[in-house]
Amino acid sequence: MNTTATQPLRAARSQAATIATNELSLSVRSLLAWSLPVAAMLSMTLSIQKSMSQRGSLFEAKLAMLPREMRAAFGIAQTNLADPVHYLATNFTFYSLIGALFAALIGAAIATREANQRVSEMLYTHPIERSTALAAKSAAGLAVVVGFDAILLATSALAYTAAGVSVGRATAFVSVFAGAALVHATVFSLSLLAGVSATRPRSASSLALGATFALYGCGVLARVSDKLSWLEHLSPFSYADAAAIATRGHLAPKSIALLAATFALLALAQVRFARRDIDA
Amino acid sequence: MGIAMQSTTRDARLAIELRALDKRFAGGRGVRALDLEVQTGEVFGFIGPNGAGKTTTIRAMLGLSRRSSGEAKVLGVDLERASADERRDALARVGYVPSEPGVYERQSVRDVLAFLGALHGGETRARRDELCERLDLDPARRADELSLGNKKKLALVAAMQHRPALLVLDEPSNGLDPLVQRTLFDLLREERSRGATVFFSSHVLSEVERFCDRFALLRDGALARVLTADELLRSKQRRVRAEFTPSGVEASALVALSGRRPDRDGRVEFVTDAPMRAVFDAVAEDVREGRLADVTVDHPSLEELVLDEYQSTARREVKAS
Repeated sequence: MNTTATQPLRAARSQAATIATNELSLSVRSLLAWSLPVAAMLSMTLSIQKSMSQRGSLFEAKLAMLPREMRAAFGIAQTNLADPVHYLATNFTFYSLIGALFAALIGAAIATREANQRVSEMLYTHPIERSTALAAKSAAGLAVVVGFDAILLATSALAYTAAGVSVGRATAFVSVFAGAALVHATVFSLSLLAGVSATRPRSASSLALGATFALYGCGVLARVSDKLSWLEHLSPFSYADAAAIATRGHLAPKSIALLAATFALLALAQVRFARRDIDA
Repeated sequence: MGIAMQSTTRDARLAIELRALDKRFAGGRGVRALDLEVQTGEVFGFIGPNGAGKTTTIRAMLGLSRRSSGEAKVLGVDLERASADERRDALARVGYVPSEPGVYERQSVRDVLAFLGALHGGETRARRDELCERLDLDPARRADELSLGNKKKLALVAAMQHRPALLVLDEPSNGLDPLVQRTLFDLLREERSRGATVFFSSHVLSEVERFCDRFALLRDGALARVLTADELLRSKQRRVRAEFTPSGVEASALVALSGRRPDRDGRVEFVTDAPMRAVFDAVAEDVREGRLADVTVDHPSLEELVLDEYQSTARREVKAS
């Protein structure tokens, strides 16, 4: 008869690696399908920075004619097209939202994959703890989500280099992507929690996408209206705003809250998952 | 090592032990006050109609769902309350086939089986290849393109590739063609001769009867009966099939004994635990009065016993209401 490994810790690590590897292999196609087109779009946008900056004053004047609320809503309140990091930040709101939607889908998919594909019973009657499995799946999911931002970072750097643009402020440039990664990790964790809590696993993706749009909306409303400025506390997007990072040159201290939120949401997901019935 | 140490603290004869197991759902269905013992090395059949609570019981005892009250031990370990190490050690010796197994999408059969095998930590490849060959399962095929029967085969290989001490099979032959069913039961016989315990639920009562040492009948979430194959053979119950003449049906003593109404063709079939003397007296009277056209009295099959059990309970419920 087979027995488990003699070292329980080693066995758990080996099982976690098995689960994480499996999860990565199942998610890598989604990562490439989402990140490569987005990276291509962002690269094209960045590759014209030089020409945009040459006509920058005219373009900035046009942007300045837009209502303040609109500029605030789309993150173009502080525009300096001549600065590559500011130029990136001006365009980054859209890409950060796409990354958040991807993170939401990955979080929900990872939480509900076994239930949706009816393999939960088979998996959790193998000698693996639910907590180990979820931790391994979470780590793989976070790697995929952060991988999305890493791919954008790498292709953006290449696009600027290819276009002959010197980024100059490297810390600020990387911080824009690091901030986005923190936002995406938070959205991922929230979606994972939604996924393990959903009574109908198939609805978890819709729920996660809806929640992401709602959080994004909170950030936009907080910027548009002074009366609703308190909503910024609810939106992870407000904690790592790309334009503010570009101006400041680094992440704001408050962005550490995103890291704390990520860990808290992952811990809650563990508690919720440990208590739920597995029936598929 | 954990397994050896634990075996000294538990009743090693019992592979499964349920005590007053209750699992309630918001909708009201579930299982209640279930007491059951399955001996190590035994082949145990778990029988019941759809919705009787078979799968609910299996999920509760394997720690997949939280029970409402009571106890459930598998290989001496309470999988809901045990420590992580104990639970892992116990599950390393369990193989489970769900009633409707799924598969990971976009992976080959080989990848899915290798992934599940790796969770056991030991060498499973040789056994996995052997099982795939015997069950005629192509490891190169994409798992999500498999038919129900092939998904079942995959689940069977996953459950047996690590040579478990306890096999829990929920409707294992469902979806398998007759040839593969035969291979499956050959494999289960081999597992049994190796000393493994087999616990399986099935709707196909003839296979349960042929294969199991004991059977438990579940009805509406409660245990209706547990009996051994020997008890079935030695049962005082008899199956009576009788055909009456058109004029003899109404006054028949056998019909009165059965408590049933004959069908349109004047036939009645029932299982009775009335003394044989009473059965023969009734038959003799009907023969004497020319009421009986044909009669057979023999041992009932498990299927007939089960049907009779359920029909009797249903009749009692109708009368009570």
